[in-house]
Order: sequence, then structure tokens, then C-alpha cells
Amino acid sequence: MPRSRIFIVGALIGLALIVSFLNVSGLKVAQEKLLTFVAPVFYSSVFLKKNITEFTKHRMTLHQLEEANSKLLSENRELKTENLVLHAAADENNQLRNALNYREKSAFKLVPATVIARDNSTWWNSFKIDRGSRDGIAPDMVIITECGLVGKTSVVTPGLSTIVLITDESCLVASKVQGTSDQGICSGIRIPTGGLQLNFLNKLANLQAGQKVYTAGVSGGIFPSGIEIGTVKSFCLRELDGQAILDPTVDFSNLEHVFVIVGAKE
Amino acid sequence: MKPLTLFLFLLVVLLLTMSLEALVPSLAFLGQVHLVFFTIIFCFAALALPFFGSLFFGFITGLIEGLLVLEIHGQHVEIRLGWFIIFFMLWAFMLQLVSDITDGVRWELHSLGAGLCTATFLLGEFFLLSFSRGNFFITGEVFLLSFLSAGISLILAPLFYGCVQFWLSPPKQNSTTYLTPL
Repeated sequence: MPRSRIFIVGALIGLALIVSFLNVSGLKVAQEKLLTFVAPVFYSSVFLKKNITEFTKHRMTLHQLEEANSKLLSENRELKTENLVLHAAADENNQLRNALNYREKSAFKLVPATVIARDNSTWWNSFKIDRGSRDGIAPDMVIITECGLVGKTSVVTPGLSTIVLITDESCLVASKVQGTSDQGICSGIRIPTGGLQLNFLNKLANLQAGQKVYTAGVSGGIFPSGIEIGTVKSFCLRELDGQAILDPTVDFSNLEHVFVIVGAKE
Repeated sequence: MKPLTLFLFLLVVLLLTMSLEALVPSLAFLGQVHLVFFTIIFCFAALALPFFGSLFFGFITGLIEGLLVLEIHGQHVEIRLGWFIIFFMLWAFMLQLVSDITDGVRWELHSLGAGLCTATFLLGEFFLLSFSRGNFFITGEVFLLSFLSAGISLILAPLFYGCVQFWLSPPKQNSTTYLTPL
């Protein structure tokens, strides 16, 4: 091999080693810069996907339109009736609340976001959303949907944030099981099966399939209490603890819109 | 085509591919297999570019891929960025040697390279992740996921080869070796 080649290889390996020992803050800055640079690609592809979906969705025959119209009319009638019943229930609820001097729990302040990129690695589970530090998002903020817990933010750039999903092994959530005093640590599974594992359960815990699991909300943690995570699929005893396998409540394969908890509502 | 022009063209394609890869969800019907396209571009660049360009392309591929997938937890980085860089530089070096032997970029070589590179990349990532997290285990599913991804890359590689070949120079009859080393 000529000397010049050896020199080039040596220089590049040296450079790789230097990059390898970059400190975490340097690495974070580099990651943020790269994500800011590629963000327009994500945005434009979402725009393209939306347009294609809209175009294909709106192509309907006259017969299909008639069917959709009659379906909507009947749904409308149904909802009107339901609305009347709910109004009565709401009035009754308000009266009861006043009577019991019920203090409403502080609700969360939410920022809606759209998923613009899915996980780009086999062993890590993450999404990218179209909101960033410009919208008040910071690292380690909790992501939810109307169904349950999604994950937490990790790298945040001005217009884009990376979410580590609860299906990732590195995302640990203190959890409690519905109707019991059993608590454990919920995390994803390294081999992506779409399931979750609930570890460090009491060996005497006799969990049944179908029981719901919620966030426990430990002090100093980032996940607030009472957000649904999933349902128990199976329970097994290990040498030192019990382990349950969960089905997540959120369908991650079809996730498009999420909410970021940016604080408590005043 | 000048090596620098080809280098820049492939770099743009690589960046686009890496970004678009993140838009494709994993295939649930194939056991959550994730599609890996960027290795196809990388292998082509490693074979078609001259020695220095090829190694530098490997360096950049490793750097971008590492930055795109790495997760930083507090002050802990699970896999060092250097691993990604050295991995792709090593593959670029090996593909250069093979390219010298075959005297040109053959589509079979490109396809096989893309498949093997994908498989070794995913398995390497898994092993390093296992060592980093402290509990090492290996199951058939790990190999299945890696080799299915590799198989998809292997099948898709000739498509990319054909497109670039068509763009760079018209195909010659009775030849499978269209691109000559630059």
C-alpha cells in the first residue's frame, strides 16, 4: 500500500477517535444542528403525504357520496339525542360537585404536535414531532395521546423534537397496576415486538390478563401519575421478582397526532 | 463524471435516503422489520469512488447515521459515534479492495455488499447496545430481523444501481460491468 494511502487511513481513523470522545454537550449540539438541517425534508414529505392522502380520500363516486351523506345524517340525529342526555348529566354533575365542594384536579397544559418521522433504527424506538423549543418544548417532557402514554422528549431543536417511545428499552416508567397495590418499572423490549415489560413486581402479585397499568408518578420522576400505559397480557415469576408483559394502549403503528405536556394548567 | 461531482451527488442522495428512511414505518407483517436503504447508497459510493473519496464517504456516512440514531440519556451515550465511523470506513476499505479485483463496479457485488453491510451493521449495533446496557442476550429474532433487513437491501440494491447506471452512461450490450472505477 502506498505511503499516502496509509497516511489518509491513519488521519481518518484519528479523526474518528476524536469524534468518538466528543463530550455529551458537543454531541447534542451536533445532533441538533443535523436535525435542523434535515428538518425541511421531514416537513416536505409530511406535506406530500398529506396531499396524496387527501387526493385519494376525496375521490368518491356519486353512490359513495350518497351513502356517506345518509350515514352522516343518521349519525347527526344520534349525536343530537346523545347531546341532550349529556347536558342533563353535566348539570347533575355540576350540582354534585358543588355539593361536595369538589376540588378539580389541575389539568395539564398541552401542546398538540404531529408525528413527522418514524423510528429510523431497528433497536431504538423513537419518533420525531413538528414542535420544538420555539413552542416551549424542552427535553424530558411527557408525550401522551387521548389513549395513553407515548413517551418523552429527548433531543429538542427549535422546530423539531425527538421522542423516545415507551416501547424503547431505555424509557423507564414507574407504574402501578389497577385495583392492586403492585408497582413496578415499565420499559420496552430490546427486540422490537411492540410489547412492553413490567419488571420488579412483587412475587406474590397475582396479575391477571386484562388488568390496566398506569403511571405511578414517583417524586422526582417526569411522568405524572394516572396516565394509562397498557393492559397486562401475561404474568410470570422470575428468580427474584415477577414480570408482566403488557400490550400498550397506544397504537404506535398508526400514531399521527400527539400532545406534549408542557406544564400544569393554571 | 468527475469523482468530486459523483461524491457530491451521492452525498445528497445519502442524506435524502437517510431522512426518508425515517418516514417509512417498520413492517409489522414481517415482524417489525425496519427498512435500511442508506447502505445501498453507501456501498455504491464505496465501490465507485476513488480510494480517498470512498473512505471519506464512509466517514461521513458513519457520522450522519450515528448522529441521527444515537440516543443520549443524561450524560450517557450508549454507542460511541466513533464506532459508526470506523465501521463504515472499514466497509469502504474492503469494498475498495474488491472493486480493484473486479476492475469496476459490478451490480452483483454492489447488491451483495449492501446486504452484508446491512446485516453486519444491525448485528454490530445490537451487540454494542447489549454490552452497553449490561445484559447480553441473543435470540433467533435478532438474526431474523437483521437478515430480513439485509435481504430487502440486497433486493433493492440493483434498482439503485440500474438508475445510476442509466443516468451515468447508457448500458453496453453483453456486459454486466457498466461502471468503470473513476
